[in-house]
Amino acid sequence: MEDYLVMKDITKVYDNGIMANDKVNFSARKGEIHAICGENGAGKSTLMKMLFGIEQPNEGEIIVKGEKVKLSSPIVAIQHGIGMVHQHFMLVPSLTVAENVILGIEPTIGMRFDRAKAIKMTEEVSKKYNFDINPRARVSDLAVGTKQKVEIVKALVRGCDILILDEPTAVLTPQETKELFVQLKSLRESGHTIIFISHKLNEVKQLCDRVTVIRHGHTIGVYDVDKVSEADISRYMVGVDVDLEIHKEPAKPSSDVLVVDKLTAFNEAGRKTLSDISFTVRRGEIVGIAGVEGNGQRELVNTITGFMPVTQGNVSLLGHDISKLSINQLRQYGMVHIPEDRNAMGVASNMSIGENILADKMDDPRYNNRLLTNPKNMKEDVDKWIKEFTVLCSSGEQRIGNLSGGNVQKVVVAREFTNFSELLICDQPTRGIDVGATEFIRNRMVQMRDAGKGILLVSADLGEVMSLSDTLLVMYGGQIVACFRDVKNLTEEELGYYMLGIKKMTPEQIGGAFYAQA
Amino acid sequence: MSNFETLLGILTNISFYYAIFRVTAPILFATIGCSIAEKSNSTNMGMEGIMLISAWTAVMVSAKIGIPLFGELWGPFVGLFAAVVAGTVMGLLVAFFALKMKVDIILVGIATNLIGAGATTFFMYVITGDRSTTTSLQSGTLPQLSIPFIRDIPVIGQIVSGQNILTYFSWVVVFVIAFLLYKTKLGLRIRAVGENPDAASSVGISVNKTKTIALAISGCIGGFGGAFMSLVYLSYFSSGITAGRGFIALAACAMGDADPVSSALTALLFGIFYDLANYASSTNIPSQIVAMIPYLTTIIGLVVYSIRRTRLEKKRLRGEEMDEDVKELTAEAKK
Amino acid sequence: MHKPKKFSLKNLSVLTRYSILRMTVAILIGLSLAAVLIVCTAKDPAKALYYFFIAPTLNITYLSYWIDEAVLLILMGVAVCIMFSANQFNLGLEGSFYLGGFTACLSGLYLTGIKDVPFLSPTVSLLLAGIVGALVTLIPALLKKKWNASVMVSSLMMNYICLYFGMYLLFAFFKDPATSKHTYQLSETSQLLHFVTNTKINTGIFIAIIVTFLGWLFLYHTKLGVKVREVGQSAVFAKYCGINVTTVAIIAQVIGGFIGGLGGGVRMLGLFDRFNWTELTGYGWDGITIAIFAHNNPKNVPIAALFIAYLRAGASVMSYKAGVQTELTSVVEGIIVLFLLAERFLSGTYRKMIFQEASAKREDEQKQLAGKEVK
Repeated sequence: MEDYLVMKDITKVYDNGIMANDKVNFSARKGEIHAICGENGAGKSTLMKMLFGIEQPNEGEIIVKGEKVKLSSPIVAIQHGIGMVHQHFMLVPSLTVAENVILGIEPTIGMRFDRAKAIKMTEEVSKKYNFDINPRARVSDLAVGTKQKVEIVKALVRGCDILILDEPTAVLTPQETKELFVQLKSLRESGHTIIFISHKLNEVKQLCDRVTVIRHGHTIGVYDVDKVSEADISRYMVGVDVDLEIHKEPAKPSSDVLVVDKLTAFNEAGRKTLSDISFTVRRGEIVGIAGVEGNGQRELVNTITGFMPVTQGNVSLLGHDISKLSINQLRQYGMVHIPEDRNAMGVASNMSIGENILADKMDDPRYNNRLLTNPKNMKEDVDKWIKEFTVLCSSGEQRIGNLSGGNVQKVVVAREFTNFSELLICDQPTRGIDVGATEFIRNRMVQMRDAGKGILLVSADLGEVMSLSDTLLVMYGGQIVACFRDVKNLTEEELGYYMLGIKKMTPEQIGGAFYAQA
Repeated sequence: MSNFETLLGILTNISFYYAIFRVTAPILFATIGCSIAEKSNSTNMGMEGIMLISAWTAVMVSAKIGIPLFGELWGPFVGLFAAVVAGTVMGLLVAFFALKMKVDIILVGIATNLIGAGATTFFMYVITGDRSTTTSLQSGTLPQLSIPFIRDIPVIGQIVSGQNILTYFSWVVVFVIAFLLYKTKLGLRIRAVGENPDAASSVGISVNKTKTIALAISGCIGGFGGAFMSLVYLSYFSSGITAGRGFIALAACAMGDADPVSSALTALLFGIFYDLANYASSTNIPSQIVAMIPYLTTIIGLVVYSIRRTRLEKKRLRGEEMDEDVKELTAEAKK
Repeated sequence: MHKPKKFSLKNLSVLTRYSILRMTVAILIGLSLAAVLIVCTAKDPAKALYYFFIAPTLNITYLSYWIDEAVLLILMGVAVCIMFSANQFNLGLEGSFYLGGFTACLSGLYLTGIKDVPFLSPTVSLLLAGIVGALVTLIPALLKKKWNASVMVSSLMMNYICLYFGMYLLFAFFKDPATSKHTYQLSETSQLLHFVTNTKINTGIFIAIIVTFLGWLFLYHTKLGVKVREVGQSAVFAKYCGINVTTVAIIAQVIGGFIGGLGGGVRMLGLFDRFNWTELTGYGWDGITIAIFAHNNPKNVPIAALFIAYLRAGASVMSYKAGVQTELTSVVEGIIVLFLLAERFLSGTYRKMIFQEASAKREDEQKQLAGKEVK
């Protein structure tokens, strides 16, 4: 049926004055997989939030199955058959799968919660659509791919026939993605409508029937996927042909900057999270770490950057044992860090852009006149760097919370890359930001490499980690399972096998990651 | 008589043990009230103020409406009812300002304490003309319960039977709230909202509505605690009658990880020390030091609890110890 | 450098206009509530209202109540500003204040060699008071650092421990036997200089001004102060920047405690000649109220303190002259605080203001585009 779901002339202005959607139009058919593509800040998340009742439009109407509706809350959206599978899972860790699945529609016997019925409901739906999940398992113990299945079952159990998936493959391996696509196609066959929000144009081409492109809060157009190319879609999203290839010279690595030797770690529940990790990062090289999120990358980065103590094994920065160093000392020795979670860790969102850029530089004598600070020098440098890193803002005094993701990341990069640096830790540096900012940051990283710095790049973006890395490591289950020197001839599929734990290199092959010069 | 002999005298005195439950009751009510609020991730800092207001309400209603209309036996119960309603209303007001008006809940609690202390003294003066106590009023007390059969058991009988009706109720509340949290739909939602509010709201659960209910229940139970102070512990209201019990409840709740049963046991521990402090005034220890005991033991208890917790965490991070649940699940996963 | 803008309401951002609106409404609500309560409970409402609103301006004595109270509120407000700027909810200032006052008195009575030297005596007494106050807040801070014990709970307990410990010392060792609960009398040299005859107005004013200035300078113009605020904004972010979060947090609490103890000392040496406090004074909680009004910025503390102190002075005279109890002000302050902080207060109006502005911007842009096309 044409126009099973219609969003007409939708306008949304946020409390901080930003107009996220400006007369946007979107419509989907029954039994279709429809992609929504747009850069970050383009307005697609906002649009979907309104479809799921989390936000309300200032102007415009939403029509579901021919009926004009006001989606005032998620529960109303669910009543109209719209279910959302969020990018960051909406699960309660200490509750079981069944409890999470029926949360909000809990079966009861009088006042008591009917646990048995909850389990039965979960099993019925998961069996019907072939999702393999254990209703009694505690969610905190599940793998990422399984958690996503729970999210989908959650929506199906409530009878949703319109499913919104927000960047669902961001945390999946190529194999898990394939599995997901099979399930989504089968859901389409049974009449479900799937709205697929994604940056990954190759997946959009593989999976979707139509694509709507949104740019700067406006609808650019709706296209049949088999009639447009990835380059076309990219052009509609940005307005200009973006060069996705990174040009870089071959690496000329020299002495060691970071040496990780048999690093092992445990979490608060006593589980092993890192197992005998050994590798080296040298000056003038980019070492990439690929891997599905949740395989130890977080713990590895936290340890190297000083957030977690070294409990077993050894990590040294330019020959200094980091277990004896504070984060301040690590930075003094030249460690610089672009964190994965820029909002929680990378910036103080209520402070100004200038304060954020200078946040870790306050001890610098240039900014201090004996006891008091030197506002003149501070402003001078901030203005200079805002220009150099092309941060779009009104001034250094603007509150950073109002900037788009890409600009916030540029502030983070401005802060980190202007420090004295020998080792750059870049953790998901271009996640969730627009193409322009992404290009800028990647080029900067290559520049730093060529200037003789060592870079450790952790990224879930396979294209990025494959095109930027000189040496590529793969982490699975807390271990390094692969080490590739010849990244140019590596295929995504081959990489996927290692990322999923299907293949594993021998210790000798992996040992090549560890160069430590005697 | 040496202090040690006096201590021995206290510990062999049956009324000491009887008094433990009497002294614990208000702290227990406050603790359970705090724990359900805490489970929904809304710290009820204003428990002290809520208890003050409830204590005041209990006395005023009992003296002015309850006893004149219903006599000396039922009058105080009317006061109790009013106190509980007042507590619930206060809980709802805290929820209103914290959730609807988005004031930091800790600051709402502090404002509640400020307003509670001020309003109770102010209106006490307005109504009775006395700034410090309501002894000029006849507000009565709640009755004690003498349980047949149990009261005849030697030793135990004298401790367990004959307690005030509210004292027994304070322990009933522990199990009622535990049941609520772990066996009912509302409890599931409260825990979900407390742990991951985004997850809850994504399935259509109103986070604010659930937290409001939790805070209302919290205030309601606090109301019982306040009423206990002025209808059982004393038979009148006095300025500052709660003396920090609302804060001690926060400590007990923190140490019990907001679980009703664990927090109740911690509250009992504090009750024991409070009781000891009361009896210790018969020794040579100066009364001010004696008054310090409950607060000192709370801090020491908090430190002991925190030491244990950090040691356990460090052990786990070094891989030396595993959670019992994790061992089970890893074993199951391997099957 | 900025081009100096003409100051007009239109030039302020929507956010600032909204904040001012909210503050004004909150204060009006509070004052109206006060008026209602007075009218309903006073035997002579007109007289009561008169004294409540006007008293501090009537004569020098009433004015001195206002000033003296304001001095204490300023000190406690700055103390809390610093602690809250680091997001440390150390509520132990009641204890700092109490023991600070006690220490100042003891120092003025017993420090031979110093106690009879003018200016030096009160100065040393105040410094000691500050140090003791700092120790009181230091303990919960250290417990948190070493064992991750809740600062809020332990600091609340510290208040009562300080009170009873102080009272123990008072009754056991320092009581003047001729009295029931007082220490011996302080000589005039040990007290703060009273420079307005027949009032208690004292050099505490200058201390309050200096502390306010230093507090503001510290938070906004020293690198340690900037770090304190970064920790307050986001401890994770501060740690990531290499700031030693625990140390900075402890420093903030110690400074707050020092100023709190100083406050107690100023009250003691400025308003009394013997120590006889047998209750926690409540000034610790007042500091929080003032800091909230001042949005944690010391430069706003004096005006907030003067406002609240004015109400209290008026209430105090009113209670003396017309019998309405002073606890009225606690209720009013609590209510104003709640409405002041309520971010959602009048949010409907705020949203409309924002939407109007965004729509106006959109229209302007379109006009410009249209204008360009025509050209």
